[in-house]
Amino acid sequence: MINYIPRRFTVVRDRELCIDCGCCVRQCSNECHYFSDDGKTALVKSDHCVACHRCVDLCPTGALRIEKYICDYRDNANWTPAYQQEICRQAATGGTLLSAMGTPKPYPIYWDKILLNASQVTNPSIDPLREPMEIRTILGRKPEKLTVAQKGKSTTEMPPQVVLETPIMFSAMSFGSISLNAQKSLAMAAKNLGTLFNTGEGGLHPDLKEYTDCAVVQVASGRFGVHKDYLKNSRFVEIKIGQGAKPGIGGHLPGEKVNVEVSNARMIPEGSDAISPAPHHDIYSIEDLRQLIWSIKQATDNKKPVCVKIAAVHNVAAIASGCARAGADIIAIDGFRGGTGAAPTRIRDNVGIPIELALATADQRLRDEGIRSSVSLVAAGSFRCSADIVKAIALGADACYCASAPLIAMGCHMCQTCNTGKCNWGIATQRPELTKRLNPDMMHERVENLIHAWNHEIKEIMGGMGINSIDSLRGNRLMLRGLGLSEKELEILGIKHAGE
Amino acid sequence: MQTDTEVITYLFDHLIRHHGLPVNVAADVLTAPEWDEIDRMDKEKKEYFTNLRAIYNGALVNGPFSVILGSNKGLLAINDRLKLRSLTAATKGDRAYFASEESAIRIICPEPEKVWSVSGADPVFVPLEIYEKEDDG
Ligand code: SF4
Ligand code: SF4
Ligand code: SF4
Repeated sequence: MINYIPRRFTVVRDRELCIDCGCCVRQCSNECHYFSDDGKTALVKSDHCVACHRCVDLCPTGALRIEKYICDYRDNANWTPAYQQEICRQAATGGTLLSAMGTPKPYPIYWDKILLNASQVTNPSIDPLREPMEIRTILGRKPEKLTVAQKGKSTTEMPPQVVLETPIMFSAMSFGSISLNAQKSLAMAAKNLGTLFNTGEGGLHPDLKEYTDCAVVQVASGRFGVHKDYLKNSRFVEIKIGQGAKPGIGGHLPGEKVNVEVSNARMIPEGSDAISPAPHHDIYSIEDLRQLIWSIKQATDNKKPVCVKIAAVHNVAAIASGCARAGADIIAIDGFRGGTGAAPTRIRDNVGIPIELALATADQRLRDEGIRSSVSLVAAGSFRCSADIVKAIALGADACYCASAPLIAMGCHMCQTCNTGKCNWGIATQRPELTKRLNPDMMHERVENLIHAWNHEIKEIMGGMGINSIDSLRGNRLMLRGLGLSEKELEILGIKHAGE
Repeated sequence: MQTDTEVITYLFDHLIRHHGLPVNVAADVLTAPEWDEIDRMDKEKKEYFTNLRAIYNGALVNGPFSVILGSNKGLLAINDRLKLRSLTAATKGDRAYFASEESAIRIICPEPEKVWSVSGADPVFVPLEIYEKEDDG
């Protein structure tokens, strides 16, 4: 066949173990498993398997295994099978390639080339089990200086501040791109952890009303679901200018995913495509951004900090500085490895820069301009473990946005097919038979466990450095050393090489 | 900057001279109490320390230190929050003494009236009499 694209995986069923219970047949939304005509024997057709492991996990006898299917091509370092297959696909459809989750390409991950410091002798390390370790983080615009009547009495007019009990927040994932159950699990976890979840640009579902105190609500280019109460029912408001996985690109939620619930939350007709334009059509300059920031502040009686989220692009430092000057209280920078529910593959895999470099330059630029201490900086774009978070804070972040990690805690296996809407784990789907697989009452606990574990690890690492408050870690690049990085990379990261 | 002493000196200069904070408020910035403690304070103090820690989060000093800062206003003694270094204060009449060990104080003042260990989150400030007089006038 001219359009032949080898399948990715083979589902292997151990016939000796299989009891033909039919569980896998019911579980796979990609319809890989089916029964023989007599209804007695479970069979498999692997073509559409995405390696989400749902069937493997739920098979009561452990009879299933997923293998990579290998159909060799003649070796070619340039014309790899992946490029040939993508061409094949486009030749058949004439369409743009779509992908989900962060880029899988082997770009450098600077977190893995940065090492942390620990104390020995002169500055003793601190035992986090015996001494208090503070990771409370306060976001929001800070006045230039404190004014006091006397010691113990502040006369400072503080702009609205957001107090977090961990430097980790959950990044924007809209109801629409993920299920209500998934969003609810994050909301519950955020509430119990003393942190925030982010509604994305999908509006706020009425079921989440009780979590408004820990909600970041987004105002994106489509302005879906935005009204006065939406803005007021939040901890802070985030203007989404860009997303790390698809800088310069808008969003497109296909009509099939816009059921009654999604249509209500987004305030759009049922079944209609929800298209977020690439730019905000009222923002063509920093001055325009300033106007939107001020209108949001007015609509919320100046009670909510306003965050501007930008994608990490080449001149991110100058853009961040512009956002700060336009009145943003918090600036979120999303690196190019950040996740997405759906993005054009070519954009996801080729546009933007890594968060490590973007964060380091933006922090430095704000410092050079003397405005770093007045705004908060939030980093996003793939934090895989607590050490990544510690490194980001030492590079200058106040807090980090995480999305993929809590999703993995809820069952996601990074099958990278969120865009198909058939997520077998009930996360990136709106199909009722799939979303009901995700029970928020159980899943919020797993997310909380994860963040508790990370909090402990962050405290342990800080203790090792002899630091007992995260305030002293922030921007403390002396705690970082590069390994195998070029002079230029070290210069941009503002860190020394290991051994120096 | 090469030494901790330089850093701490610059911090005080920044807070007192540039930001116009009283010396005992500047001391609070460097040795701010822990959040656990702040959460238990009365409203006014809680607001004071929360604002102070939010605005000057980067000026909190971590690690072991005991510092005595002299100026034409008086003597300030601060100790790190975990008391990793020791710092002892004593008074006798209108004199104040600071040293890392009590025995050191007793060599020059054998019978002090009051001796205490300076607590991490409670800076000690001894104003100069002459300055007080100026203030009164
Ligand atoms: S779930 Fe396991 S035991 Fe049941 S039919 Fe499938 S492979 Fe066989
Ligand atoms: S897609 Fe998932 S559930 Fe279906 S066969 Fe593959 S691993 Fe199993
Ligand atoms: S959310 Fe679901 S569809 Fe998306 S990568 Fe994870 S398991 Fe796959």
